[in-house]
Amino acid sequence: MTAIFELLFKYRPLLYERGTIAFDPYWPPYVTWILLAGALAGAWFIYRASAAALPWSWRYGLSSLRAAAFLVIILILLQPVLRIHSVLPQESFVAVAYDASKSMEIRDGPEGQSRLDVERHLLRSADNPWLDELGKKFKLRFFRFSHSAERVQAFEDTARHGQVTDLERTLDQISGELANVPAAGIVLITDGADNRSSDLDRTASRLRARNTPIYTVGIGSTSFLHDTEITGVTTARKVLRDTVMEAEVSVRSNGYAGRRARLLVLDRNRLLQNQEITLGSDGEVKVYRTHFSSQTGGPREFKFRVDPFQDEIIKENNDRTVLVEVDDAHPEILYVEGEPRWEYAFLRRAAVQDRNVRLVTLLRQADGKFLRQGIESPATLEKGFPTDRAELFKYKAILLGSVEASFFTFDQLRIISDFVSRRGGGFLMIGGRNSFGQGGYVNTPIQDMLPVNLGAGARDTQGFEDTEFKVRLTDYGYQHPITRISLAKDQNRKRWTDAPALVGFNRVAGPKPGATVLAMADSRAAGGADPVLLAFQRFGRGKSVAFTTASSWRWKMGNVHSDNFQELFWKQMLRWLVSDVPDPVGTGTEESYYAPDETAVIRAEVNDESFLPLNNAQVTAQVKSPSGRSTPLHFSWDVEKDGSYVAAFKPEEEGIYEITSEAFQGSRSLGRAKSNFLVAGSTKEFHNASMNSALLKRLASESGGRYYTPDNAGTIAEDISYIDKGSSSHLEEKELWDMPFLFLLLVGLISAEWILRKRRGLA
Amino acid sequence: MRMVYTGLGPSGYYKAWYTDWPKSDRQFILGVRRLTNIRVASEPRTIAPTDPEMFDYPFIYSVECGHWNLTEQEVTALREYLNRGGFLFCDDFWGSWEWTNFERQISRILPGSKIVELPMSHPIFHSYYNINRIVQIPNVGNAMYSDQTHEQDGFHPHCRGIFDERGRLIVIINWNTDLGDAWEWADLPGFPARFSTYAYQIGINAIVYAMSH
Repeated sequence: MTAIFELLFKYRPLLYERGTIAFDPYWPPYVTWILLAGALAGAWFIYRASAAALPWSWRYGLSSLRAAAFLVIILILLQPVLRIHSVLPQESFVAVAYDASKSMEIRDGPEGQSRLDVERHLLRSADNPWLDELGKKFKLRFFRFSHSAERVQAFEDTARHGQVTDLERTLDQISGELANVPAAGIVLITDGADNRSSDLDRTASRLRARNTPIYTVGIGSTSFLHDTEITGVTTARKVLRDTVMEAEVSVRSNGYAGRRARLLVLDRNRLLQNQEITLGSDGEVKVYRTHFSSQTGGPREFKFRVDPFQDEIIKENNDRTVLVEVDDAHPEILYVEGEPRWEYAFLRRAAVQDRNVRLVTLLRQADGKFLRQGIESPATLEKGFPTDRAELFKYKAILLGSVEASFFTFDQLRIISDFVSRRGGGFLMIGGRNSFGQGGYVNTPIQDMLPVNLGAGARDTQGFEDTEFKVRLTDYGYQHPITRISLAKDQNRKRWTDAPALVGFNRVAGPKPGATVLAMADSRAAGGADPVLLAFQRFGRGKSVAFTTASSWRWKMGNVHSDNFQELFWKQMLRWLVSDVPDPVGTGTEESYYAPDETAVIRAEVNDESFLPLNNAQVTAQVKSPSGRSTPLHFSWDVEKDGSYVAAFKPEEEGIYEITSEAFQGSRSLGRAKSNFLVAGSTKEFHNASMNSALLKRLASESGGRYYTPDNAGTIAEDISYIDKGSSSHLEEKELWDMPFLFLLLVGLISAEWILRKRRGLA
Repeated sequence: MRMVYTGLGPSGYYKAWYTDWPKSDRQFILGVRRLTNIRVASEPRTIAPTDPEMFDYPFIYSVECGHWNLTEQEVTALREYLNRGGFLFCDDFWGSWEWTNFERQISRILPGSKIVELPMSHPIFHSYYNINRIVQIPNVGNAMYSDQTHEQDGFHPHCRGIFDERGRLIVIINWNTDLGDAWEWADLPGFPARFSTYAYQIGINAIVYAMSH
């Protein structure tokens, strides 16, 4: 299109965009008006003589064609020019920045060339004269960039390529270098695979305001014909040892629609999970759930991999590493049971086998008579269920057995609700004759929290059904960590199918809209629509679970003694309830791993005993490097978020770092927290690595520049020369009278008039 | 739930699974319902170890255990029952001869297990009531008309137990004492209250222990 435009209008579109059209006739303006009037009158009178022979529409049409031809001639005589500012040679500076990040190693160029090869060819003046032409018009400054920009003399080959690409920082740095000189623009040669910038549009707008447009040259393919890529992994960053972990792995593929691949999870080189997946259609990102567990404590690097196909261009993006802290903590759970019953005994037996979770129980044996178990000191729960938040919030989860709402004061019910919504704790209600609607929980804060509807009315709207039933998991129920008895999918399904029947459940009025149902009671045994058996929902910062039966002990008594189904169910349940439950002081990095060139941003969240955020704490940390060296850090308050503090740390070694943060109010310690992060040569550059032409085009247009490919980059020198206006520019006038378009227009008008006259039989 | 078992004597023999049945069980249930908030059926039931329904009742009572003569099926079933999490309450057998037979039978059920004397500090003596000593409860005849409390050469009462590999008590053995008679005859004005009191206390403690450990 540009070539056709240039053919017709003599110059490229950019010159018309940047310039203005003017006229430079040899005579004064009144002569122009006389000529115009004369042309119109002349065209009219030529056909006035033929008025009788022609209908008025023909007369008007032919007159118009003749007038238009006269006007084109007058236009040519008026000496049209294109006035455009162009820079004075060697008065301005142009920055030429080329990408030296790892993604430039990708071999997606013609004949298997790497992007770096294409870049080298572009910047070697022997192969491409545009750089020489640019050098004649401007003073050039060269930069090499990846995570930041570095001034160089010319294109330099280097074996060490950057681990990340930060265009925002690069442009800011270059802009800073050109701040004190007249700058005509920045030539940015890159694949646009930015994985660090947060607000490029603002950078581009700033450069536009300074009359420093960006001319982007996109290197590489915009999509890969054959590639699978793990675009992201979502998993908990902290779990208890030996917990079944769930990860959501997002995979994008091109060229392998419907084909099967293997998704692997590795702990160093130990295979934890190997599952078959079916890839989506080209460009589609599919999310796969996978489960695994680690029995080794401490910070663990879990690698997720999709086995690459032979013909993939990039194999490095088939891996993603996530750092997870496998904790050996001992979170406490408070279980209040309203009556001695088998569910209580068997649940406790399962919990006691878990060396990490500590179950503290308060069992009502008779009116006013309680048995406390799992307590650390005689004073624990001495006065019964806690009445203040500080005491209750020490726990990470609360279980309520068959205990009626009237057992608690309204304040205690409110505190339980705050425990979940504000503190972020886990909550479980277990079925029984004093649970759910039968327990009088309608119109209480607990009702709001539960993932199931209790119906209307103050007491027992739905009833307790004493029938035998089999458990039927929902589709998601087969995948959730609570119900993941076996890591192998088929085996998990079989174990649930073979599990003994249960007896008795609280019938509720269905799940709430935001709740997730994991299991139902088989309706053939229970009658009516499938009753909800196990469901959960997020409530504020925490989570709430409903388990409407109290007969899971039958999974133990009804199975051979070596079968650990019941124990595993409760182990997963309790661990899931305490997972992600925050401590009063928390710390961590924004990313779980960083490349060696990057700065780690460390955050601390500080709350008081009631989990209200504190903004006036003093927060410090020690960061221990892999080699054992400790560096102190001081945090500053993040004004945008209550209770949040931030610090930056520049790592110098690769490996796992440990952060120990502590918050103080005066001399009183509010608590400590530990976290880890990984510094390693990353594969970030190979993820989302297709040439991002959309980003580069936007960057160019926002800054007033243009976007090029290597094929048309030769016009950069000329394009940069023409600017809107500047102190280092002069005004050029380019003649337009000899535009081929005007000649073609004139010939066209005359020919059209001649053809029409012949048709009417005129001479 | 009372356990029905194969005993040493012929049918109708006075020392068998049905000793004190059903009144002692019924009386005991009344006590549990009145003194605790445990939900228990109002009528007692019996069950054989070979009945699969036994696994629906994780607490089982057996009397005259010194006269067990268990079949292989009964032994296998009881072993599986205890390994899965069941609890066995043994009562009312006396003297060294009956102990020897009991010991032989229990070793068939739980080979390699050790029978130990339960210390008074054990949680079963404090799970509901605080019990500070073991009481020898005589049969109803001796209780009402004699000062003798023992039978045969069972002069001293013992409360012994067997633990699983995780330290949970799974069998309680009340030897040289007759708790069943104390429940059965608790309603008699002449039956000494101290015997009934102890019997209800240890019985309720055992159930609460089993339901909380």
